[in-house]
Amino acid sequence: MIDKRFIGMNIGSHEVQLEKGALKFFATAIGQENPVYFDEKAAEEAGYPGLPAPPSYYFSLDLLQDEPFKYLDTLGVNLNHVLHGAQDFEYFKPAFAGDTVVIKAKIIDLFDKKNGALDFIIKEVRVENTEGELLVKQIMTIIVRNPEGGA
Amino acid sequence: MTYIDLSTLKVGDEIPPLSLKPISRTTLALFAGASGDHNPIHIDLDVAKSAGMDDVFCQGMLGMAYMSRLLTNMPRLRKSKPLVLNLPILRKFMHSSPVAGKLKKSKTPRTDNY
Repeated sequence: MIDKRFIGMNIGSHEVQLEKGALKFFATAIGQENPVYFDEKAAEEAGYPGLPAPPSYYFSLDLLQDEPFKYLDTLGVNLNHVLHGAQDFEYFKPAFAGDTVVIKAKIIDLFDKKNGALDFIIKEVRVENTEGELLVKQIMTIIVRNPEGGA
Repeated sequence: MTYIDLSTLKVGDEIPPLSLKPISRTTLALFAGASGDHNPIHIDLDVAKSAGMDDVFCQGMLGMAYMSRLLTNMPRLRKSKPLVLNLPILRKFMHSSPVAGKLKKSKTPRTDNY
């Protein structure tokens, strides 16, 4: 069972500049067919200032740091026992290639089920622009399988 | 550019179905690189087996990226309020059809605040 004192823990923040090459690679990897996500001309014709970040790419921004899973060590969780249970996105303002965004993450809840066989980590990730405006808010549910059951 | 006026959308409207190519280990490797999710359990068979899995399995966020294509394939939405997406990840799919599975989705994701 994960110690409840970690509820409210700030995981940290980092900056990412959205790169058009990375956005195109992501679009290719997911088989994106809408050209505004990989063709700058199509993006321009759609009235965008650059290639837009696709809806689920905001999740990847949190991973674009040196040790994205380090907080799991802090919580005493083995990465191999982790499942991604759910992911919620709330979109306020879009980001485009060339934009710099700030990613801030914290643990907002911890609970367990099945007598401790499953731990749940609820993590909030905020993506802001450099002016501090909230662009996207994400809530991630992580499920930890504890093979040995409750502690 | 075609727009959908949000006021014309109603519960029960269908989103056009999305058919996907079979998912291969190459798909998972490319998505690992593109998404920044380098968790080896999705790309390294040795790690997957040592964790008790029969094979590597799909990143949850790849499933979600496919789901998001249901929306990005639609005409652009005019919205005045924040868009909320709440998509449970398809864990059953992740574990039962790890590679070479076929996905076809036409289920409407839950959306609020359109």
